[in-house]
Amino acid sequence: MKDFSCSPTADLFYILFKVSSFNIDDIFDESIPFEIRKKAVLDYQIQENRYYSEFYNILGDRSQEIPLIPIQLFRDRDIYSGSKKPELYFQSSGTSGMLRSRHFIVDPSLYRRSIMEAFCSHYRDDFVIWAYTPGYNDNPKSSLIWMLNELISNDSSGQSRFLSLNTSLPEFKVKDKRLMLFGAAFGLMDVAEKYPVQLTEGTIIMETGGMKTHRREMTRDEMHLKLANAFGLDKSDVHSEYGMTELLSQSYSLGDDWFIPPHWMMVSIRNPENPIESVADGEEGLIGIIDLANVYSCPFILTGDKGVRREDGSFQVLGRWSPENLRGCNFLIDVD
Amino acid sequence: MMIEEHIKEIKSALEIWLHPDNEILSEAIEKTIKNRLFDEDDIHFQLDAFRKNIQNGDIEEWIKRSGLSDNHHAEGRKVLCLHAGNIPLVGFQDCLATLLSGADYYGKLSSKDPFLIASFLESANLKQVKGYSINLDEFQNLGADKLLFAGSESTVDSVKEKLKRKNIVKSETEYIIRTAKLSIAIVDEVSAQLKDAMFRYNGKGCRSVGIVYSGMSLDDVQDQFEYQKMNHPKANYLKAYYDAIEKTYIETGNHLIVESNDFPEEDFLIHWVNGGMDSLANLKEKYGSRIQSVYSKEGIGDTEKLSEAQHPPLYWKPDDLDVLGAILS
Repeated sequence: MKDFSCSPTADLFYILFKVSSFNIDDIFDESIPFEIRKKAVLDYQIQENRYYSEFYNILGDRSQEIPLIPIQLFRDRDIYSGSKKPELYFQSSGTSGMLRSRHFIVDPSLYRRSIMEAFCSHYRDDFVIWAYTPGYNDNPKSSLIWMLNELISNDSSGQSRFLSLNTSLPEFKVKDKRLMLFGAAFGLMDVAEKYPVQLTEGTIIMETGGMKTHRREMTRDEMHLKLANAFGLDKSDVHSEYGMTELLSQSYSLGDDWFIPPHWMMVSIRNPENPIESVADGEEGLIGIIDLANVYSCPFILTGDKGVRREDGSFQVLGRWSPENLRGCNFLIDVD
Repeated sequence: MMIEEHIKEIKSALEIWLHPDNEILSEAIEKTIKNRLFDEDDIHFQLDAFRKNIQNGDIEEWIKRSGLSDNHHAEGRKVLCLHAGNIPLVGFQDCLATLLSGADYYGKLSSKDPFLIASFLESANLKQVKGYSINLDEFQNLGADKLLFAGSESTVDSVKEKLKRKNIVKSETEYIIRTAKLSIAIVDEVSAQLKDAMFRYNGKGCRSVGIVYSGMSLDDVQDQFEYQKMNHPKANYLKAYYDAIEKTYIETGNHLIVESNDFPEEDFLIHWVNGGMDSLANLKEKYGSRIQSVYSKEGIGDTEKLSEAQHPPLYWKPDDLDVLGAILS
């Protein structure tokens, strides 16, 4: 790691030098301070992304921090930056009549690298991945399915795969490997309820969220406990992944409520009433994300999720932010 | 229970309360304005609507529709109303329904509207009114038979939990809950009625129009709304976004109207959808229980008349539920 304890002027020269010689692979180079990588990506975006550039021009002067653009940008416009044409796109799932987000991918290798580096930074053991993804199979443009395909194809044992739906889990017989059961929370809960079974010691269950659409009444904590009980595991063996169509990077929580972003991603919590400001660590607000792997789409995003952050940069996801609660004939017990 | 006598008593109480010379009501209006809770115009608009409702025979019609009779009433039941306070007297329908049913009324008033319903309860001085307060703790150990409240999906569970903890409800208490947020208008012109439906009560009622479906684009109607700059940090943020992506929006002081197919998640947003009547079939499926009413100019099909958006009959059914009928059931 570069020593940055020298004078501010020296820092500035170093930043300018690094930014001017920046190349895309540097996004994943942890030896380059995040601020430098961010500055380089910001400069690129201002030059190449007309929508973000305009947004930045309007708000940049008013804000101490990089303005984060609403995530609906991915629904409202086709977003890709630079001269290369996108090779593919991902599309979010959604109900009929709703516009869906589309994420155009100019460089799939960037996504591959982001998937593998984020995953391997936490899971160094050899894992066999079993993916259980009901619902997502109907969406051929799902980024989650693409990600799981990538993880599965990287397992040299050939034992990783997508599981058949609506059947009990097969017995795990692979020696010297650990099992990771990976899937959308509501799908895993269905399996847990219909086909509870003792999974082998060392198994990790990785849930990817999505409960709000299907089982509103359950908290994440309750869901993790039910999954652990159904599969004979400790609650700390139930982990979570936070990702979305609009992001090329994933954060993982390793058996508790706190998600750890990869080193090329930074989460801030923004003031819901004024999203150009961050709130203090520990305060709830809207989850804002800088995902440098999104360099060819838009890396500076304000999500619609409610969250809270710790000083170490990890964060909790507390559901959807619902300002609509203020509209209509609401009885708000805490207010009233 | 002698319903005829009972209704007469309540109607008389309403007429006395709504009389322009009623000092109790005048004082409540004064306090509401002084505390900046609601605009004077909105308060009088609401009271005038009630006067017309009563003159129009809405109470008689409501009784007929609900089946209230000497043999079908709720006398002796304890009904607790948790009143909201987003617009003046928004909880009055629940209060009146409870009293008409013959049940005992307990009212948790909103701190945002603590004077107006209270003025009716004080002026009416009915035996059925057992207690009202802005403090929920006053109803500890009540053991209500029925509970009425309007909330959002996300707050329902926490409200229930709190009520259980305080023994305000019992295990067999029946909850009558409404969760709708806003209404939709299908229009082919920007009329005064549409503007009233959008902007009356600052757009905060669940009968207020938050989504407009029209064959006209927002560009087509831009000059039919009076421009008034909106200066709110979140609105400024969204305006920057709309400018950046070159999306048309209209500023009307307290609202931003913008073309969007989504549910408007901020209370200052009104979404304009460039689509006509044939979208109606999909609206309920698309927006679900968050939609209160769908209006059209003539009120054809399953729609209500746009002109009644802000002064519905007393017997209108929030969330498609007859409140009086639900108390009687």
